[in-house]
Amino acid sequence: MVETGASAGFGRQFLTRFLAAATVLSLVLAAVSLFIELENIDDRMVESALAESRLFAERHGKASADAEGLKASLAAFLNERRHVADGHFVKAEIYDPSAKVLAEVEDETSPWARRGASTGHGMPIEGDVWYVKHLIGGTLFLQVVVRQPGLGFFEGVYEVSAERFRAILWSTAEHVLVVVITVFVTALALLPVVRGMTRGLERALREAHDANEATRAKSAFLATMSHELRTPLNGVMATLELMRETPLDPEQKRLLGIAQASASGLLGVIGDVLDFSKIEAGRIDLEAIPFAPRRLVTDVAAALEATAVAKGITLKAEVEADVPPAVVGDPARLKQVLLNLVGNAIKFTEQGGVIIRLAAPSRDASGVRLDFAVRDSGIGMTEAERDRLFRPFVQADGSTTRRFGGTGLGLAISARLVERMGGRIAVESAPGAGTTFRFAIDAVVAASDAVAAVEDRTETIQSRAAPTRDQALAAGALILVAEDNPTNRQVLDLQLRRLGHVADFAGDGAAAVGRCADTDFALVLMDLHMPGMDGITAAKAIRAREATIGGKRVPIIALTATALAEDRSRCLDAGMDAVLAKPISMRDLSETLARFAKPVSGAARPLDLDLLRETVGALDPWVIEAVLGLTASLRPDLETLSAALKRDDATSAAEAAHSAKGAARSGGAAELGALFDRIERAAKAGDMAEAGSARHELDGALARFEAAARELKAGGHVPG
Amino acid sequence: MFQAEDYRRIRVLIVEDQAFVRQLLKGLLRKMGFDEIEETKDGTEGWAALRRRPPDLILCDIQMKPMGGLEMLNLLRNSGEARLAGIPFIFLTSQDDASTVEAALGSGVDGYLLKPVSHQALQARIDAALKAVAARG
Repeated sequence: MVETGASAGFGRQFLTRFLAAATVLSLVLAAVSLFIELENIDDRMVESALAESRLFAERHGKASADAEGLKASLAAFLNERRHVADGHFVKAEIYDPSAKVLAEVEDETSPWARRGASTGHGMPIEGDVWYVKHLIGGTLFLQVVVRQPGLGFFEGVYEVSAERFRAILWSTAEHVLVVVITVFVTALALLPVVRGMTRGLERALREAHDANEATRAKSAFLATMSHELRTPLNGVMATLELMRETPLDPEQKRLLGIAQASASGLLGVIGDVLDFSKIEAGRIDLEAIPFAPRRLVTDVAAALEATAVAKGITLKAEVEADVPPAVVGDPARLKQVLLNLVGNAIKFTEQGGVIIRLAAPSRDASGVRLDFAVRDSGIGMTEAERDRLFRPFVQADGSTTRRFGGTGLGLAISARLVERMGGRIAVESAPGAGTTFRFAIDAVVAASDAVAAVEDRTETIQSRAAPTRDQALAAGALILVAEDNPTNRQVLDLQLRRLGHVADFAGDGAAAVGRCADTDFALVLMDLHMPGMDGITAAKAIRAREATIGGKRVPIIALTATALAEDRSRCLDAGMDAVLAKPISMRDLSETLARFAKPVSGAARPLDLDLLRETVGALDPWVIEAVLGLTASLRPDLETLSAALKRDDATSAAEAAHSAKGAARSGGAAELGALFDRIERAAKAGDMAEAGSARHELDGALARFEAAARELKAGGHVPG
Repeated sequence: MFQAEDYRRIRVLIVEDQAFVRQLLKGLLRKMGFDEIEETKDGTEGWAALRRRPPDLILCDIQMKPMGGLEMLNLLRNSGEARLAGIPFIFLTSQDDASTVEAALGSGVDGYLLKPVSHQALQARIDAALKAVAARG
């Protein structure tokens, strides 16, 4: 009996220990499986991330009770610790148990964020699991949040890429505590829950994968659609442009103008859909270039005159005398807004007419307020209708849909564009009393000859006699066009001839690569979508061949109908030099040819004003002064560089080129920057011959830069 | 977002060997509203300047002679003086190789911007660094 008692005691003890061990083991397993489900996560990273969470809890967890305090401490913490954890966070959030966001900090200056496009797609999957996808500079970040009532929160932001899969998990002290306590109190009962979570996570990851596919499909669809629509439109617009240069009587010219305006209107609609998604993602960049506001308003009126006349109503443009001849802004976007407002006004006016009015009520030394108003004598709106106007996709109400048609995207886009320009669209209306849309923006006054220069360029695209193919070949000026569509080939051929160039044609990528191998072309215009080998692959093949045989680098210009930023960067990554969006205007083509089809040392411009603006914003007088001083500032590096090259000192040469490169690029000296970059790379690779040859090109580039800088100072580019 | 008013009271130290880049930075900072800007040409000068009078913010290049930016940052962070070690420190460089970036991050830099730096990115980085200091306290 004693033995039995002992045995029973031992049994109980064993059972207790077994249960305890099983509990601990299953907890460990549950925790492990939770993390293993996020496959490929390095244990070290999870550990490091959890350590970061604990550190945060220690330092800030108790200190801040309110949201502001929490946010400040989160920001401070992330800022201190940002680069210490094994990986980089994109965004961190703290939730209370009811899933309310208490604090949220985004790092828009992370090394990835500054490289470009950032798109966030938030998508609730279920109550307990959701994810947000961030695509930043081509790197995918997956943020997974798992919530189980009573359990707490886990949030992970993962960078997903081919080379690395890194993770950072953040959770607050409270959450960790809640998890720990709950886990121990309900140890065994918890297992199915954890398993459920694991399955939920599995599902979330699977769905996330599916959603990635869906997003890719959506993006591909948008690209295809815009390609399919733009290709025929390209033919229409280019043909009209060419027709304009044939002998025409005034009436034919007017009709042609209407056709051109309608075609560009259609192009605008296609752009709208892409635009809206870009604006929603905060990815619209406004230009700052000189333009004539008066011309803008009359252009809009001219574009829509036919529509108004067809409806039997009048369309008038009134520009007050005090409006300056030239201001700095984004004329294309302003035109888009006006076309939208005026187009709507015409659509809903049956009698009377529409007036576009531009006034400049206030003006000082540097700035002017431009007051735009579009007034119609149409059906008017009730207050409730007015309130709904600017919301996109508002289709629930039939009258809004009827009034603005389709999705109402145009007005939503206009409203957001005007907001980006610092204004707001206001509506005054009453049923039967017509409607006035009004907005005001502040603009910098530009020297009036700045616009004249821009417009002159537009008007004076010279038709020049094209040389024969042999002459062009001998002069090294022959162009290769790789394009499969016969219409586009014909249009490009005509456009190029008009600009005094001769081209050979290749029908697909493989043919283009072959042609480049046997002929020295001055330039390759490369369509992206071709049967067989596409343009990207062909460009890579051409670059690879050049690298192997050390041949001359031919500039390659991509021709694309999709105009998506992703396409652009794919082209540049493939070694192409620029991207032309179809439909290709004579002006774009002529500018590109001027840039690339001359004897070329590099694709970059001597003084790239866009690059400079990117660095400094507006081209204020102090910027111009600084730019004029760039060459003097480069002199010490140039001396070091020359001396280093003379004594074959690759290290010093690379250092000097590197130092000069940073300064040159900061000053918009793109060509110099590219040359210094070439020298730096060559020196680092030990190719002193290449470094020396690039050094020889520096003097020309320096002179071109200085000339461009002086022209900038003398020219009307400086606002105010 | 900070206002020009807030920047006015903040002393900035620029450490950069390119005269042109110094001028550009100074122009941009002035435009934002910064008033007290000191310029130095390398880490040695920068170190001397900040010993003399500690700034509230340091914008620094990496590749400079005789003393580079990384060495200066390490001096600062290991100085053992709280008022120096805590100064927000931002690198502006065209050095984008992994080993340099890692070394900089490992030394506790508050920002790493690649040249050419856009004025928006610069301001955002400065704001973030200043806010972090304000939160620290």
